[in-house]
Amino acid sequence: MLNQTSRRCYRFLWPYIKRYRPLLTIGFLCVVLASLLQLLTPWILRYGIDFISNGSQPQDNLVYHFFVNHLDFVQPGHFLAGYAVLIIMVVGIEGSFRYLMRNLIIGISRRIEYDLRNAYFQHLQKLSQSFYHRHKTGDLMALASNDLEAIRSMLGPGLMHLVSTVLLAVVALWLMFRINWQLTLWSLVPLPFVAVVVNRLISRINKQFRRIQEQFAGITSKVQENLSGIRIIKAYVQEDQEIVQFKELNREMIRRNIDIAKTHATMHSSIELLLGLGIIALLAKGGGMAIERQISIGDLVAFLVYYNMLAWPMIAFGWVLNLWQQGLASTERVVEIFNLEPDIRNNEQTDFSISKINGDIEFVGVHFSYDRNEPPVLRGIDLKIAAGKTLAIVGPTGAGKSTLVNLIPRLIEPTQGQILVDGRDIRSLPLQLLRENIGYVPQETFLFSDTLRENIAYGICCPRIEEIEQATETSQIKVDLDQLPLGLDTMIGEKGITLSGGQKQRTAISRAVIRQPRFLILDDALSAVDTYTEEEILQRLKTVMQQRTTILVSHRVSTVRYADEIIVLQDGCITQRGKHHDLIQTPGYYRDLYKRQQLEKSLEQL
Amino acid sequence: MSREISEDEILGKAYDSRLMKRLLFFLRPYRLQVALAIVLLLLSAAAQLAGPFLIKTAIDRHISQNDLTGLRMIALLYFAVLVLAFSLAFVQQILTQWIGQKVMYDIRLRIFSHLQELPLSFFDRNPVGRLVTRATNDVETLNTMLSSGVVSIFGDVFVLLGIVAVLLHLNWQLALLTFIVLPAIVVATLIFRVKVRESYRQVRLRIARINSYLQENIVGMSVVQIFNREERNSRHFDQLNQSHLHAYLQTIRYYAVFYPTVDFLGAIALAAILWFGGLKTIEGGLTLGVVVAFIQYSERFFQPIRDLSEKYNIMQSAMASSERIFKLLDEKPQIRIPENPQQLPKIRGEIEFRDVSFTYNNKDWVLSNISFKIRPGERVAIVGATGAGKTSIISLITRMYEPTKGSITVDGVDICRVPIDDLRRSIGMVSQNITIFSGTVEYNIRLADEAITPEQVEKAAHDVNAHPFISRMKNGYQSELMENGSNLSVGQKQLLSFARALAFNPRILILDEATSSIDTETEMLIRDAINKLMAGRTSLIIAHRLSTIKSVDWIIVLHKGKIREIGKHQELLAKRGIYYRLYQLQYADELVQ
Repeated sequence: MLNQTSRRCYRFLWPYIKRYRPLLTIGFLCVVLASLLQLLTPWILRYGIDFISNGSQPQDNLVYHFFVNHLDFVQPGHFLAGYAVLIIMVVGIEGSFRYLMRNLIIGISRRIEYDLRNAYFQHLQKLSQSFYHRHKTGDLMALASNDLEAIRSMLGPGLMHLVSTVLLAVVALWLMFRINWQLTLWSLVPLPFVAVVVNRLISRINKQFRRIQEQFAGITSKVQENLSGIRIIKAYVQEDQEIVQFKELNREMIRRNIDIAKTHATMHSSIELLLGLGIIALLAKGGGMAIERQISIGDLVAFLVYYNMLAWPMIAFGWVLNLWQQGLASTERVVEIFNLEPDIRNNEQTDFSISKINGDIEFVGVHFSYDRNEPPVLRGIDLKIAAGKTLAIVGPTGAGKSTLVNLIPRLIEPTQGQILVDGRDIRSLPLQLLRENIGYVPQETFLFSDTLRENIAYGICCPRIEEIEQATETSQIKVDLDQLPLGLDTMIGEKGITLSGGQKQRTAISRAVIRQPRFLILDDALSAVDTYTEEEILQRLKTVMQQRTTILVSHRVSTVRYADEIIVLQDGCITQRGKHHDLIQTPGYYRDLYKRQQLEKSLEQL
Repeated sequence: MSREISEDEILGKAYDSRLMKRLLFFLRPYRLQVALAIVLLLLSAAAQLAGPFLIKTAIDRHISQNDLTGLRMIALLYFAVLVLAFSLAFVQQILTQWIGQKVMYDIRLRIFSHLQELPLSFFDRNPVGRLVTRATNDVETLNTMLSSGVVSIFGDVFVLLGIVAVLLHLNWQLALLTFIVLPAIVVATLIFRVKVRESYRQVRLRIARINSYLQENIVGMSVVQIFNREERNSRHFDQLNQSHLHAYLQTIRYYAVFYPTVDFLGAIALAAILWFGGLKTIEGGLTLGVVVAFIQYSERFFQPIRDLSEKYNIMQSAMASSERIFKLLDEKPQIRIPENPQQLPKIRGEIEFRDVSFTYNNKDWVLSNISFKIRPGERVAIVGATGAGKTSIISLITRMYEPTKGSITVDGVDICRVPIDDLRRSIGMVSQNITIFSGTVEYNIRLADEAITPEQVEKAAHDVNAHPFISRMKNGYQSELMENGSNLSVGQKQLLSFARALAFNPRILILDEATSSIDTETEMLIRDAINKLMAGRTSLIIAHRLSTIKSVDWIIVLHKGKIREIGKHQELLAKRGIYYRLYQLQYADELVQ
């Protein structure tokens, strides 16, 4: 059972468990003690019943001697009260152990889950964009919720019930054998069948459950497809036929559900039946033995109680095994992610003596592709921007513009070629220093659900009021602050108000310029603001841009026209470069774009 | 996603009589079966309770009396009861599931059918994902309530009442003594419920916070990294994570106290039975069997109480689900057959707009005062910039939306007075976003219309130049297509949608040309296909191709929701107005090529 993968899983989990070793040991000690005490109650009950049935004192037990010799019990009432108090005490002590056991074992499993979740979050932050390109957000989220939960269930309830059920079963059996081994064997006959039934039917239930899930998925995608195509369905008057098809899926769904219900019913009823057969065996055989005085009635009652205690482990065992399998499968998935080495980070190439960046940047023969099997996104990019100058990039959607600017903060790395900052390979710069010096406004504005102030000051710590003031001024978001209920302290995003596209972009611009970066990257950052505001922002940005190396990506000629150099990127290659007034005179993409936008403008005014 | 979470967070009452009444309505067709299931439940509860009683009889009447034959009889009787209980429980469980499934079937079908009837404006307001949840997950939640919640509540109550009755019957004094712990257990359970519910609410709230923070960070990871926020965000995440942990530890503590407490109270009852029952037995007022029966019954007594409290959550989420389902079912469907419907004669294909204005939100007018008339068999193109209202015009003709003002007639009959299905059957529609259903190629052409023969399907495909690529596919017309046609190229999807329109052989064709660029070869095929589609039909086309605007009879120029120019291609060009500019903007590229 301990194959390579599960060994790898345990090796991964061990350090997380090891931290809590002392407390866990105490926890499992509590499991053992609680289970043993649980088994003591029927034993006391047995003495009590025997005492009642004989009307006198069976003198062969320790408790009796203790009662008579030390506590001076003589009346029958005394004895019964003694047994009663003993039961309450035993259950009380057992309860305290159970209290500790739950708190320790289940609590520690939650702590391990907490540790794992933190580790997962920190690990995710180290992985580069190529990782996020390959993995869906939904999958990464599922890992943090479902898989961590499955691991926790394996380590917490799984382990706890495993220990307690095995212990309970073994000791209960031993005690039953001590009372009377023949009767034990008789009553045990049906129990293996319970395990067999549970085991058999559980695998069938799992299979049937998967079939239900498939059907459920089928229904879901039918509804999904139907609603996405509702326009065509209505246009071609297909509603009734769609209902007919849905009915068929629906009918199959209930068929499969009833199948599983049958198995469930069979399982539950068979368990009841088999357990009942054991009780009948106890009654018939044990009763006969009691008549022949081979056992006492107290023995018989104790047997009945122990027997019920045994039934639970038989059922629980299948369940625990299932928890364990799921937990291991989840661990495997988690290990896979944790084993990924962050590919972009400081390494031996990093020169930590560099503490300042001037702002020259150069691309030398840069190629990039997300995956070896995919066609390259960038091919042979050569560029040189001197510190303080502005480069503009235009080109059709999908030409590789965003990819190109993503190379500068090292969100991704060239597959070929080199990027130089201040004449040094970009990889020799400490990553933190490089990124500190970049003000980046991404194409898809991403703001966090927090206050506007926090979002603007996202990249600096302890912002001064003047800094925020200036940043909001540059981006012109300041103009909108009055309309927001709490100004800068307004919550935005999911839990707050929704900003308009233009407001979002302007917030993102504030967030970038407040860092006073050496590089300012604006990736189509003004697409959602109107032309008038754009003009205002550009005007203010101009002063900011003068001291910084700026890279502007845009679809609008009005945005890029004043750049020191404009490049046209098409299909991953630079096809044109030059200044605005040169490019509008050369046939090509830029001139077409320019003419189009002029036409649109004139059309808009009609 | 997180919106969905927060919506599901809002859990109200566990029981709402108004909702319950509506739910019971769905049970009505099965009332006989429900009655039978309840009877079976009663009987099987009774059979379950018989066990300890039989053991009591065995001890008192037979074991104590040394009566071996009697003991065998009891064992046999026990066996008979067991088999009976087994069969009753088996039948009852399956019957309950059957009823539950039938009701789910009905509800699911009601939701789906209802969705088919709703007007398109409803789908604009409601994202598909949420509607899918109504027909799937919400129905499942109801199922859980119906098949395990409600039924086992009945079962638990029966068992509880049964035990009380039996104990009182066996010995009322001892019974009352046993019941002494009952108030304590009920109080403990209630306190536990309240506490644990609150702390679970905290857990859910905090895990939702963790999830939304995590999701935000995953989606915005590039921003996190560029702005060097790794450490600060880790610290924040740790705080969220810790508060979740503490909420959970609190829950664990409640459980850790609750279970031993119930066990302890049970032990007190057990001790009381042993002490007082034992004393009475020794004094001769009671039999040993009764004491044993009391012990056994008291063990089963506390389980249902514990279970009952568990059912609360199931009921609560089922109520929330049914609330959402009924809200959807209460949406007004579009009327498909008007009062005093007017039958369309054999359609000639004349379309007239009379002073039509349209708004989606009663605020911004998408179309204002549109009037035009297309004679049977004419081909007309609509051109205009993005947002000019082109798509709205064609949506009005098929009554996907209703005009806010004005009227539309087909062959002189107001389309509001025609059964909607008849109207739509006579109009062939090709939209810009092509819908491909998962199914075979043939299915995608003829849809579920069995009247269209395979020959007609193939002919249609032939006519629109789709046949060559279809016959190259592995199974020809029987090849399976994936949802959204992800195994087809953009051009192939277009040709397929043309074939679909042609197979239905409509009198009126409405076509919204796709803008996506396509290789020259496919482009030629599409041009040719469009010409064949238009042949002999009244055609209204949102044109994006130069070849299309050149082949139509006349052109409507739409600008900001108004008809600004109307006429033939050359005339409009000569005007040097809006059309001239649009022409340069949209079609000049093609001209160069």
